[in-house]
Parts: sequence; structure tokens; C-alpha cells
Amino acid sequence: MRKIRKKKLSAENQIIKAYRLILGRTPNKEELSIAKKFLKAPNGHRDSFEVFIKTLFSLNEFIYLG
Amino acid sequence: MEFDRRKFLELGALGLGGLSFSSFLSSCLKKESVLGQQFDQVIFITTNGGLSHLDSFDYKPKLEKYHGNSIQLQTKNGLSNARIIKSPFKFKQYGESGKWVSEVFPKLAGIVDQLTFVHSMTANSPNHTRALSLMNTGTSIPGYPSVAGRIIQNIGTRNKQLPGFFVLLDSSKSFPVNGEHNWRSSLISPQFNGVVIPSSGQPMADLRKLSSLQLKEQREQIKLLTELNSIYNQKNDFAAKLEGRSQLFSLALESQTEILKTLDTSSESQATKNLYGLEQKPTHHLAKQLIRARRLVENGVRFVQVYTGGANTDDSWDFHEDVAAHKKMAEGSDRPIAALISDLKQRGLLEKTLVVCAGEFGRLPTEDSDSANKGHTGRDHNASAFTLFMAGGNLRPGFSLGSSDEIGLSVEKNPISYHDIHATIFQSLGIDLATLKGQQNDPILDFIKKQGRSIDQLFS
Repeated sequence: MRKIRKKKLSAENQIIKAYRLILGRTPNKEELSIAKKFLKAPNGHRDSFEVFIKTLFSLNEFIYLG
Repeated sequence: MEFDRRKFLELGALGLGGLSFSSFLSSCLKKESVLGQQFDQVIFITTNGGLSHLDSFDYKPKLEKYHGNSIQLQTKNGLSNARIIKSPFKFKQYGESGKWVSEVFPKLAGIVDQLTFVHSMTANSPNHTRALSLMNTGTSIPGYPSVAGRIIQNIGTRNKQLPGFFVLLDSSKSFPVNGEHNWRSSLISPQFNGVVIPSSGQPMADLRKLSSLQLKEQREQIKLLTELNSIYNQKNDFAAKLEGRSQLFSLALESQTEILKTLDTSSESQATKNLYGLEQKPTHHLAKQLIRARRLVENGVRFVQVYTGGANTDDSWDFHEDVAAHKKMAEGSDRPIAALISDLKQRGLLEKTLVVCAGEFGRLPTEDSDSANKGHTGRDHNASAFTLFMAGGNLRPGFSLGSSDEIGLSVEKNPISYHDIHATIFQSLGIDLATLKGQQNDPILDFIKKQGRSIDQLFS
């Protein structure tokens, strides 16, 4: 996560970077917009980017081989 | 049923001769069940290890007469000679039905007129793993979906905030034989798995609130997960299972507080605690689990299975060593089970709750040769005859179906298999066995549909 954070990337590029690192592919338009919406939404005290990364690791796509 | 020329020719052409024709005939004779929906939910109490019908509810006075006589019979070690042994317990008649019950079950004897017995149960194997699997899944090969899971798959559950199928274990830390295969959803979606609750300690080991995330934030995260997953699922042919995983996450999220609240027995009245024997040592564990079972069905859970006895011979109903040890297990279970039935009744829940109590098989009228060597009298497994009882709804109270022979070795009248019990459960929950839904390529589904016949005569 630090690796993604370190570079001063735009939110969109951070999402793309995270997808590439974790799932080995670029997100499609739909996925990008869902992720952007999630990151933009007002959140409690929790860092929403961290939650987003953890969610990628819980995806069916990450856990199961298609 | 009509059979035309074409059907007859087909039968001949198959070349299976007598076999196919006899199965064709039996399918013509098989009566369709007329049983409509009777129940909303089921509590299945499993006397794990094989409760002896001969020392509990199937009174055989002839055992006293033949005590000490040798007979030849088939045991799990092959054909051998064994000595008949009488029950160490006294039997008395109870209630208006005049049912004979063993002295070690005084509380159940007290409500015997509310129970419905089947004395002609048979299993297909005198082996724990195979027989328990048959009881739970409808096949003796462990690893197929549980019957409870199939029920939830077909009619869902009433409370969407709780899983539909709970498995409450006895004090023993050990799982019953076959372990998780007893409640796994297997081929069908993981959301139909049984949720296992031990009788002591944390009800669910992994169920605690994350301190860092608020419920609202957790909901947001699960929403994100579900949305991203659904894009992926659409592209995969095993999407149904993946969909189940997403639904499981949502269920876990919504039920995390609900489950703990429902399982908490501390708010029960002192009268209820006393009724079940919650604060007494021998009954504590089963009392707790049966109060929880009542609370679960009260809150709309479809199927609750409660085990009495674990996998070890010394803390289950598996008495190879000494028949008299039944007394110890009965002391821990007689009162809570009778209490559950009375409690359901006083709360008006018994009308819509089917209570079933049985093990995977019964026990032989003869002495287990292994125990004789140790100077005790135990009984080995018997899959050819055993007893099951039920209570609830329109079941005929005080009625007994079928019978075993004079020494309880095998069934004499009205043989009933677990397939028939499953058919009765499906049918009485309003699930038409003929249209039972399942997964594609599920080899057991057809088997379940065809083997069982709903026992309509148990109902008035």
C-alpha cells in the first residue's frame, strides 16, 4: 500500500495501480467508477483507501482461480 | 397410472428384465403423499452413538426370559454366537397410552402421551460413519449436502438476519464422526452450511465486532465487495457458488449481533432455567443448547440440530462397555428434552415445530463380546431395528408405529428408513418431494426423491 501511496498519483491512478499489483490487470470502467465512488464517500475515522485494498484481497477473483 | 404399449416395449428393450419391471411396478404402487404443510421449523435432537431402543422406549420382556441364552447373529465382525442380555433397567407403563418406558427416562415418560414413536427404524449400516451420514444427508457416503441445507435451499428461512441452519454441539469438544460433513452444504451454495455452536465458551469463535469499523462502515465495505464481485461473477460459470459467498458475507454482517443475542440464555426466567435444569450439573450442557434451540426457532430459524454425545465412546450413547452407563447419558438428557417439548407447547410453538429425537441406529439384544471379556455387559450396534420419536403439530400423540421382533433384533412390521423420515420432514414443511430443487449434476438429489416415502399415518 505504501508503494501505491508513495507516488503522488490521482485517485484513479491509485486504483489502477492497486488492481495491477493485486489482481494483475487493469480495472474496467465499471469497476473504476464503483471504486471511485467508494473512496469519495464520507467515511468515519477509518482510512477508506486501506479498506478498499483489503476488499481487493477478499474478492472472489483474488481468492478463486477462474 | 396408465401404462401404454410403448412403455412396455421400452421396458423389454432395456433388457434388465425382472429388475426394471419390478422397479416399474413399485413406482406404480407408490402412493403420493397427501400431507400438506404442517410445520415451519424443525429441531432434530441426535442421540449420537446409537441410543439403545431396548433400554429406553422399546420394551422387550422376553429379554428377561431369554437372558443368558446364546443366539447366532450377524454382527459387524461377521456371523457369531452371542448371549442375550436383559435390560438392567425397570420398565413401567405411563400415561393414557400405557406406553412402557425405562426408569432412566422419567421426565419423557411423564409426557409420553405427547410423543409419537416409530419402533421400526432401520439403517443401512451398523457403522457410525455410514449410518450418521445417512441420517444427516440421505446417503451413507459422507460429503453430500445435508438434508437441512436442502430444506433452506428450497424454502429459505424466515428470519433473514439469521442463518437458517444451526448445529448445537454437546459438552464434548469433539465433533461427531464425519465432522463437518454432517452439516456441510457441499455441492449446494455455502450459505446453506450449518452454523456450529459449542455448548461452552464463545458461541462463535470468530464472531466478534471489529473495534475499528462501525457497522455503517462495514456495510459500505460489504457493498463494495458485493458490487465488484458481481462483475466478476457474471463472467464465470460457477457463479452460483460465488454468489453464495457474497450472500454469506452480508448474512454474517447482519447477523453478528443478532446471533449472540439469540444464543444468550441469561435473560431466561428462573422457572425456565429450572424446567430444563440449566443450573444443575448433569443437565447443564444440553439444557443450555435446547433453550438456545427454542430461542432460535422462536426467532425464525428453519432447522436446528442438537447433538447429545460427542465422538468418544465414553461421552456418547455408544455403550459397548456397559449398558448401565445409559443411565448417565439419560440423566443429562431426559429432563432437558422433556422440558423443550413442554416449553415449546406452553409458548404455542409446538404447533409449528417438529421435534425429532433419534440416533443413527440402535443396539443389539446381545452382549458385546469385547465387553464380556472385561467383565461388563455392553451392547454392539444394531442397524436392523431401532426407535425414533417425534412431537409437534398434528402428529398423532401417544401413537406408536411399527414394531421390532420379540427381542428387538430386527424389524417385524412397517420398516421405516431415514429416507422415509426425510421425506416426512420435507413434506411436512410443505416441500413437495417430487419437485425438490437442487444443484445440477447432484447424484444424491434424485436418490432422495425416489427412496423416501412420507409417513402420512403419523399425522391425525
